[in-house]
Amino acid sequence: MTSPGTQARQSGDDELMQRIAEGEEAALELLYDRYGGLLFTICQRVIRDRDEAEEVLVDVFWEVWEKSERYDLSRGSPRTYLTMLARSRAIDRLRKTSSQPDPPGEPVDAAWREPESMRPGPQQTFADEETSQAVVAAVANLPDDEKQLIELAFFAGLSHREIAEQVMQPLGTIKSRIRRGLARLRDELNAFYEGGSQ
Amino acid sequence: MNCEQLQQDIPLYVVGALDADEHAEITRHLATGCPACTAALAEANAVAAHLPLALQQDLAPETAREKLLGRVRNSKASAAKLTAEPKRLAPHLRWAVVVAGVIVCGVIAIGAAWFSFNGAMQEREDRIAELQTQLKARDVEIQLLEAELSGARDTLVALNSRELNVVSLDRQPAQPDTAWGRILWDEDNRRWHVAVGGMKPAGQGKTYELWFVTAAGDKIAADTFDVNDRGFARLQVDLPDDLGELSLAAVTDEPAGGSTQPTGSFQMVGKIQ
Repeated sequence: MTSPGTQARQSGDDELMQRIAEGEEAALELLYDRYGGLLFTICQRVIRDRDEAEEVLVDVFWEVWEKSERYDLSRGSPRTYLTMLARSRAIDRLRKTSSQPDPPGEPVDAAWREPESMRPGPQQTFADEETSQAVVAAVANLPDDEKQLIELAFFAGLSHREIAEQVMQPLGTIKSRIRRGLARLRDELNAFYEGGSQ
Repeated sequence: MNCEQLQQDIPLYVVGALDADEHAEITRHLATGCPACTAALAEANAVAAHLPLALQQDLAPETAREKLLGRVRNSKASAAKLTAEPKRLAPHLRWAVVVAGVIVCGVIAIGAAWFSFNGAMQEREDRIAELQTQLKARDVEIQLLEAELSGARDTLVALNSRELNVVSLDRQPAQPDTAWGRILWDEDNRRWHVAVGGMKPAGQGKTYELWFVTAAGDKIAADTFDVNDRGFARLQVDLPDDLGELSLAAVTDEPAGGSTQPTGSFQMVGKIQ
C-alpha cells in the first residue's frame, strides 16, 4: 500500500529509524520534525487536552528513542508504527485520567474534515498532501454510521460493546459496520496507490 | 474461534474495538506467528494508520521538542557519569563512606522486608483487580444478552406490522440441500428480519454478505454475517431511505470484512414481488 513518492519517503524513514537505534540524536530530531505534527494531532484528538497531549507526544518519541529495538521493519512502515504507537499511548493516558468520551450523538463531522476545507499541513510534502486528500475523500465517502463507529473505536478508544451501548445498536451490527467501513477505506486506498504507481 | 474467524476480527483488533478477552485471544494467536493473520494484521494496521491523515493537522509544539531533546541529553549525561572513572577519596573521608555504606545496607535490609510484605499485599490487590475485571466482563455479557434478547423481541414485534412481507431465499448450487432463508420485511419500520439455516460455513478468510438489488440492477451492501456451527444466522437490517424499488435479495460469499460490490458467487437469492 504505497505510491512511488511514499516509497521514497519510507526508505528515508527506515534509515532514520536505523540511525536512532544507533543513538544518533540528529535523526530523532529529524523524525520529530517529520512526524511530530501528525502524532500531536492524534494525541490532541484522543485526549482533547493540549498539555496532556504534549506530554504524551514527548513520551512517544522518548519511547521511540529508548526502545528503538521494538520497531520491526517487517511489520510495517515507520509512519504506521509511529501512528499506532501514538494512538495507543494517547488512549492509555485518556483511560488513566478518566477523561470522558465523546457524548452520545456528537456530529460525525466533529472529527473528520470535508475535502474542500482541507488545507495543506505545514510539514507536508506534495506526496503527503496527495495522500491526505485521498484519505479525506475516502473517509467522506463512508456512510455516516460507519464513519461514526470507526471514530468512536479509533479516537475515543471504545470497545464494540461500549459503542453498542452508546449508540444503542446490536453488537453484530457494530462489528460488521466497522469491518465494512475499514474494508471500504482499504479498497479506496488501494485504488489510490495503484493509480499513483502507474 | 478458529483462524478464519479471528482474521475477521483483526480490523477491529487494530482499531481497538474488541473487548479485553477478544483482544487477548487474537494477541495469543498472533504470537504463534500465524502467517495469514500476521499479514492481515499488517494490512489492517496500514489502513488504520491512514485515519489520522483525514484530520486537520497541527504543528508539533516547539516546547515538546525541547523537552524531548532535554530528556535525551540528560540521559546521555547520566550514562556518561556512570561510566566515568571514580575519583579517589581523601583518607579522612573514607570512614564516612564506610559508615554510610553500613547505614545503606541496613536501610536496604529493612526495605527488603517491607517489600516482601508489600509483595504479598500487592498479589492480593492484583487478584482483587483481576476478579473485578472478570465481574465487569460478566456485566458486559449480561448487557450483550439483553441486547440480543431485545433484537429477538423486535422480530416478534415485526409480526404485528400492518405491512409485513415474507421473502423466501432460495439456495443456489453452491449451498447444500439443507440451506434455507427467510426475510420478514417490516415495511412500516423499513427493516428486514433475516434468518438463514443449514448453510455451510463461508470458508477460510471469507464471510457472507447480504445485498439489496434494485430494479435498476444496482447492488447495495446490506450487511455481512457468519453462520454458527449449525449453519444458522439471524440479522436485522435497516433499509436506506433512498433505496428505490427492489427486485432481489441476494447473499454472496465475500472476503472477510465484506466488499463494497459483489465479487463472490451467489449463495442464496430471493425474488421480491
